[in-house]
Amino acid sequence: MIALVVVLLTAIITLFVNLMNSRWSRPVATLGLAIALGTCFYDYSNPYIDATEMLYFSHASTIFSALTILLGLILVGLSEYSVSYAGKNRGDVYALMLFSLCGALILFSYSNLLMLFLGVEILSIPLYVLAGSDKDNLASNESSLKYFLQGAFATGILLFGIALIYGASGSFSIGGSHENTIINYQLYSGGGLTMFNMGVFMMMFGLAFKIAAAPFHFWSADVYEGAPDAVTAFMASIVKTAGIMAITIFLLSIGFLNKQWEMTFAIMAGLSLVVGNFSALKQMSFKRTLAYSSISHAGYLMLGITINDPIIIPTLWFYLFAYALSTLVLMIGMNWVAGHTGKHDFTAFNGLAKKHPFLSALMAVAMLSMAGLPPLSGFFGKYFIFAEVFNHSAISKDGGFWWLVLVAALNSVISIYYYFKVIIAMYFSPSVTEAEVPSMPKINLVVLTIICLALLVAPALVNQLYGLMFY
Amino acid sequence: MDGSTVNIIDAEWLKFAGIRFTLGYDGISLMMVLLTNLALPIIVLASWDRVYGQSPLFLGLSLLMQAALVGVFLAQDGILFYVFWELALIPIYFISAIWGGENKNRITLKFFIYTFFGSIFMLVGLLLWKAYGSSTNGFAWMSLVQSQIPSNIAFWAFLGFALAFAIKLPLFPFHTWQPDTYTVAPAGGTMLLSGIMLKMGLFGFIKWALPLVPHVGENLLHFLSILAVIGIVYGSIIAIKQNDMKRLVAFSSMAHVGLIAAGIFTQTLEGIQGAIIQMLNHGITAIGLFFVIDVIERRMETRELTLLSGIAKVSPQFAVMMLILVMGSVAVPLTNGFVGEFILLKSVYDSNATLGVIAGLTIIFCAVYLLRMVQFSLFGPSNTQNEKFTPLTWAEGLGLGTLCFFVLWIGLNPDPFFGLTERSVANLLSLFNSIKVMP
Repeated sequence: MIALVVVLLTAIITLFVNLMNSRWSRPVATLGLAIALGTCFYDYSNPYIDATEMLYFSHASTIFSALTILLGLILVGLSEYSVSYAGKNRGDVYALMLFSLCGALILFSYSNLLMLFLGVEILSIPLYVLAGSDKDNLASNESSLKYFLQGAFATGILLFGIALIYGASGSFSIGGSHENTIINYQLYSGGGLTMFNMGVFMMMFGLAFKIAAAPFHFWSADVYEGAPDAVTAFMASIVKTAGIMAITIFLLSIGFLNKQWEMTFAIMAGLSLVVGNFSALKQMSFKRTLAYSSISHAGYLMLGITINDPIIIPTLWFYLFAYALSTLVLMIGMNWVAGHTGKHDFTAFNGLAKKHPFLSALMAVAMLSMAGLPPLSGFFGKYFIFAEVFNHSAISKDGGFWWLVLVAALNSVISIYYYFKVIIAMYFSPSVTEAEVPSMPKINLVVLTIICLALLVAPALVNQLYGLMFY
Repeated sequence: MDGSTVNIIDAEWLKFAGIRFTLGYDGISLMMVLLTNLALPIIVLASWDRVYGQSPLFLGLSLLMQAALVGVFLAQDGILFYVFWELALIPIYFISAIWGGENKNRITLKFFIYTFFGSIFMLVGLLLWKAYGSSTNGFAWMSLVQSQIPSNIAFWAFLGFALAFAIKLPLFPFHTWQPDTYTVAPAGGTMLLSGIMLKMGLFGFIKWALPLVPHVGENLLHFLSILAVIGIVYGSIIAIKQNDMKRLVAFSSMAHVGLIAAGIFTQTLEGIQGAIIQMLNHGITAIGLFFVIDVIERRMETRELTLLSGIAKVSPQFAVMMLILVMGSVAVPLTNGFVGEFILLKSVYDSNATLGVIAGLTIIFCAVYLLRMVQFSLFGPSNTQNEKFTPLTWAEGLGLGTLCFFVLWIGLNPDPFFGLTERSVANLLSLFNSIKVMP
C-alpha cells in the first residue's frame, strides 16, 4: 500500500520537477521508484486491507508490485537515450509512466470490481497519451489513436460486463471477508444466472483485450510498432503483467463459473499461441516481431490460468519475471541500435557482434531465455506452467487441458525460427549499414548484465518464491 | 566395481517441482564420459591449425559443450538430463553457424529447430511420466523407472523420448538435417556432432527410453528396429554415390548408427554391450575420418574425390593413419570396429534373423564406399596438385596418432572396455525386467 502511495507521489513530484528543470526529472523518478521498491518490503510484512475491502495487498500482490516497480525502475533509470525524443517534456513521459504504474499496482490488489475498473483506466489512459508522446512522429500518432479507439471500446465492454454482474448478484466484491461476494451472493431470481454469465463473458473479453490475447490482439502489432521504444517496452512488460494478474484474480475468484468459460479461455490461449507465433514468422521488423511474440507469451500465461487453481500464481509470477526482464533487455538493446541506425528491421543488427560483442551477447542471452532454452529462466517459466497443467490433468476427471500443452510445445519450437533471426543477424551476417552504432553507456551495460545473470540464477531461487507467496 | 550407480553430487534444486541436482555414474556413463573427454582434446588438436582453432570463442564453446555432454551422461534426474541435453545444443549451434560454410544460416537454423522439436517432446514425455506415474521421488531416474504408469500414457511418453533420440541419432525418416549440417559445419563442429553428440541419442535410448518399454509393449521397439535397419541400407547406398568426402562419411555415420540402434532395440545384454562399445568405436573412427578429411581439405582446398589422387605417394605416414582409421570403420578384424559390429550383428540376428541379415549388409556396403574413398584419394597416379600436401603438423600427428592407437588397442584387447560396462548393463536389464506393469 505504501508502495502505491510512493509511486503516486513520485509521479506528482516528477511533474513539478520537470517544470523547474527537465534534466532532474529522470533522477527524481528513479529515486522515487527505488524508494517504492524498498517500501515493498514493509508492505510485505504488513498486508493491508482497507475498511471497505476495495483493495487487498496480500503477500502475492506485493511481490507482483515489486516486480513491476523493479521493471519500471530499470526502464526509467536507463531511459536517458530512449526517452530523449521527448526533449523538455520528458518529465511528463516519466510521470505518465508512473501514473500508469499506479494502475498496475491496483490491478494486483483489487478485491472489488470497481477497483478493477479504476485500475484498468488508470493503467490505460496514460498509455494512450504515452503511445502518442513522440508528437512529430506520424507512426506514434497513429499508434495512439488506434490504441485509444480500440481500448476505449474494450473498456466499455468491460464496464458493461461489470454492470451485468452487479445486476445479477447485487455485489461488486470478489474477495475479502464479505459474505456477499459476487459468487456467494444469492443470485436474483429470474434470468439472474444468464445475466451473470453474460457479465463474465464480457469481462473476460474486455480484459483479454488488455493483454492482447487472440482474437483481441489486432491492435497490438501496430500500437507496439508505432509507439516510442520506451513505451513499447512499458506496454510489453508492465502492462502485460498487470493485465494477466487482473484476469487471473477475476477468473480464479469466480472459479471460471462453469466449464464453458474454462474451455473458451483455453481456446483463446491456444489461439494466442498460434496466431502470435505464425504472424511473427514473416515479419521484417524486430519490433513488430516482439509485438507478436508478446501475444504468444500471453497464450502461455493463459494456458497456466486454465488450471483454475491459485497454486498457479507463483508460476505466473516467475514466467512474467523471465519474460518481462528479457523483453526489457531486448527493447533497450533494440532502442539503442535502432535509434542509431534509424530502422527497426533485423538488418539493423547485422554484424553487431563484431563491433559490440558484449551488447550482442546480452541480447542473445535474453533471446535464448525468451525462446525457452535451458538453463535460463524463460525455460523454467514454460516448464513450470507445462508441469502444472499436466499435474492438473492427471488428477482432474475430465482430462484437463493436456492437449493445449502440446500446442504450446509445438509453438515454442516454431518461435525459435523468429527468435533466432536476430541472433543470426548479430552473429552470422555481414554488416550492411553504414551508420555507426556507438557503444552503450557503461551503466546501462552493467544493469543489463545483472538482468541476464538474474535470468541465469533465478531458477535456483524459485523454492523461496513459493514460500514467500503462500506464507 | 559392481556396476551400480554411484552419486557424485545429490543436492536439492527445485524442491516444489520434484527436481534434484543429481549427478552420478555407472559403467555406461563412465564409458560415455571417457569418450567425451578423449574426443574433446583431439577435436581441439584437429582444429588447432584452422583459423578458428585457437580463438577463445571456439575453445570456450567447446568446453561448454564438453560440460553439457558430461552432464547429459551423468544426470540422474530427468529435468537435469533435459537441461544438459538442450545446453549441449547451444554451443554446437554457434560453432557451426559462426565458422560454417555456404548457406550456414539456413542449414544450422534448420538443425537447431529440428533437434529442438524433438527435445521439447522429450520434455513433454518426462512431464507425462511424472504427472501420471507413481514416482515417489520427483524426476529422479530410479524413481521414475520403478514407478507405475498407465500404458496409454506410457505410450505417448515413449513416443516423445523416441522422437527426441531418433532425431539426434538420426534414425531413418528423421535424418534430413544431418548431411547438410555435417557438411556445412566446420571440421571441429562436425567431429563434435558425429563423434559425441549423436551418442547422446543412443545413450538416451538405453537409459531413458528402454525403461518405458515394459509399459508399452515391444511392438514399438520392433518398429524402431525396422527403421534403424532401413537407415543402414539407405545411408550406405547414398554414401556409395557421394563425391564430397564429408557427405560420404556423414551418410556412413547414419548407417553405423543404425546398426548400433538396432543392437540397443534387441534389449539383450549382448546387444547393449555391443552398442556401447560400438558407440566408443564410432566416436573414435568418425572423429578420425572427419579429421583426415579436414587434413586433406586444408591442403588441397577440396573435398571432391574426383579431384584427388595419389596422396599416399607424397605423405606415406598420413596414408597409413588414414588406412588404419578406415579399416576401423570398415570393421576389419583386429580393429575396434570388428569387435563392436560382430557382437551387434550377432545380437540383431539372434533376435530377428531377417533384420540381422539385412543389417549384415552394412559391412559390405561400408567396405565399398570407404575403400572407394581411399582408392580415389590415396592411391592412383600422383596428382600435380599434390605438391601442396605439406607434411603433417605436430597437432595433426598427435591427434591422428592417438586415434589410431585406440583403434588398434580396442581391436586387440577389448576386454577392459567390455568389463567396464558389463555389470552395469546386466543391472540395468534386470532392473527393467523387474518393472511392474499396471494391470
